[in-house]
Amino acid sequence: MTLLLILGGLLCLCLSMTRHQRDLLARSLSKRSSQALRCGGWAALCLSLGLALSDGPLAILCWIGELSIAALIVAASCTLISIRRP
Amino acid sequence: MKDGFRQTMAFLHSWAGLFPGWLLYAIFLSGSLTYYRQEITLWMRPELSGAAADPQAAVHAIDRLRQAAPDARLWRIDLPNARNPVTEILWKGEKGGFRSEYLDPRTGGQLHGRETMGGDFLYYFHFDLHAPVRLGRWLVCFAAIAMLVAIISGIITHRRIFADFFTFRPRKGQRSWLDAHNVAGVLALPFCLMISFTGLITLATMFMPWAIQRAYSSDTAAYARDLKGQGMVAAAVSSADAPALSGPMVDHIVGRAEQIWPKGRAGRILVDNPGSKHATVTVERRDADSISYDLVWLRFSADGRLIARHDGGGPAVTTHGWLYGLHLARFSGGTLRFLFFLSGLLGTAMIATGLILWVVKRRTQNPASPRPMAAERANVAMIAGLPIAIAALLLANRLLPAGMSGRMAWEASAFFLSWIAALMNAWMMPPKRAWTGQVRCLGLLCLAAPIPQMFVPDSGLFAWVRTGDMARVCVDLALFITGLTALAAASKASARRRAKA
Repeated sequence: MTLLLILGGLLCLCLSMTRHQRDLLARSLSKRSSQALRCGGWAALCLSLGLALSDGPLAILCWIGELSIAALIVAASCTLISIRRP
Repeated sequence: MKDGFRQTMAFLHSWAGLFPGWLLYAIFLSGSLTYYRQEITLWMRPELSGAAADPQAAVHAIDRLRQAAPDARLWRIDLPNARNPVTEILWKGEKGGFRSEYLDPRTGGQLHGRETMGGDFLYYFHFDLHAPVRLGRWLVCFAAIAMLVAIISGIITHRRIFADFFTFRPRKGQRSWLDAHNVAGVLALPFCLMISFTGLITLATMFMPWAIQRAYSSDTAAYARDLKGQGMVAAAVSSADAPALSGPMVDHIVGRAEQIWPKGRAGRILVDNPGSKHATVTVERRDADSISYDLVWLRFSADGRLIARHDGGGPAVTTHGWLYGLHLARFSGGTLRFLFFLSGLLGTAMIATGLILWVVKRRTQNPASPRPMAAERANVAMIAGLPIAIAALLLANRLLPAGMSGRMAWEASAFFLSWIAALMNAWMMPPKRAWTGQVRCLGLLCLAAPIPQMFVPDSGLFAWVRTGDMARVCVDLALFITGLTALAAASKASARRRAKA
């Protein structure tokens, strides 16, 4: 559950960056939608952290680890997609 | 001025990263594997099998100890748990010296396994490098300090890491190595900071002994006694003539302890002076039950009365226990342990790519130089050589005869000799050929390690899958995955070299 939230959040953050918009969507998004994605991404991350904080110390450790895994997944899929798209 | 500061930091980062980097790579790789120390130990002792948490385990262990060592000064029983299904007993003889045995928790029968250090080999290597005296620990200490320096100067040097958070551009030479270094580094950043700092805490009394020297006039035994006694609440001391300690009494005591700890289980039982009237039984709570490594314990007299308890020390001890416990991560269940392991591997990858980047960068700055740099050769011997040594250790565990004398030392020799072989190979071959050769060798060793056990009846991968022995199955699978990945990487590299030529 938290992992999905983090994954969604990081994906939004990733899509709010111009370079990744070019790679993943082959076009640039407008400034406003980038901003919205950035806000949404941070909000999802904060929400997942909030959930973890309410679950106690072990959940916080898990959250940090899941953050690493989710970022790894997003980075790996970015790379794969941009290789496919010449 | 700002640029000057960043250049200084870049200089610091590249040199504080290089020499300790080789050491840190070894520490990180062995440390990451140590998260699965119990599983590796089980894999390396394929004869052992038992049942987790048999209610009679303590009784059987006491019976065996009364028979084997009635006059011992100390008995220690490590009760079986989900990750380690055998009981381990240890006793200290009248003249000192420790002996230990493995017992089947269901029957109390002695289990005879091959003589091996198991996962403990990597565990000790992680902080003492198997070096004589305390040399290894001092080296590890300096490496950990260098790690903190390298991390902080690294954040300043690679200030674009957060903007390039998800960026990896493959097949672009130096650019790709830099990306990989940045991505691995930034992903594992919280873990790396935590683990280097808590790692230093575990060795703190060694490299900062001054407080103990001053307060206790270097009497570390007194310091340890005070530390242990902190937070201890002693009840009335028993002086009545207690009967000799029996199995059922210890079982009763463990039951009482587990009543007192609502959520915890007993992990270890220590019996002092078991033969005498003044025997005491100390029950320690399992280390998996709390993040802190400041373990909670209860002490009973031989007639089953609670005489002392320890529920955690003062604030300093508690903080230390938390930091220490965070480093060891003995509290973690399956998922969290895997996350720690993965973060450890990411840290290892960051160090490895950093070392490679150091070489690649200097080669592109100075392409005319025909001679390969010493650092390049050292990289091969370390980054590929250490995994080869670990794979050789595992294979030696399978190939050396089970009853051989001095077997443990031979396993260690297999580790170090194959590492030296990798070093010599790296020294004599052109680095590019040494890379592919050694990675291919690693792949073959990893694929070979699970094979011999398959010829043993009722053992090996397929039998473990049938009986649901997941720990051993996972070690086998990890070996296969590593082996196939290494072979694929090596053949890809050699194909590209052929295409270039």
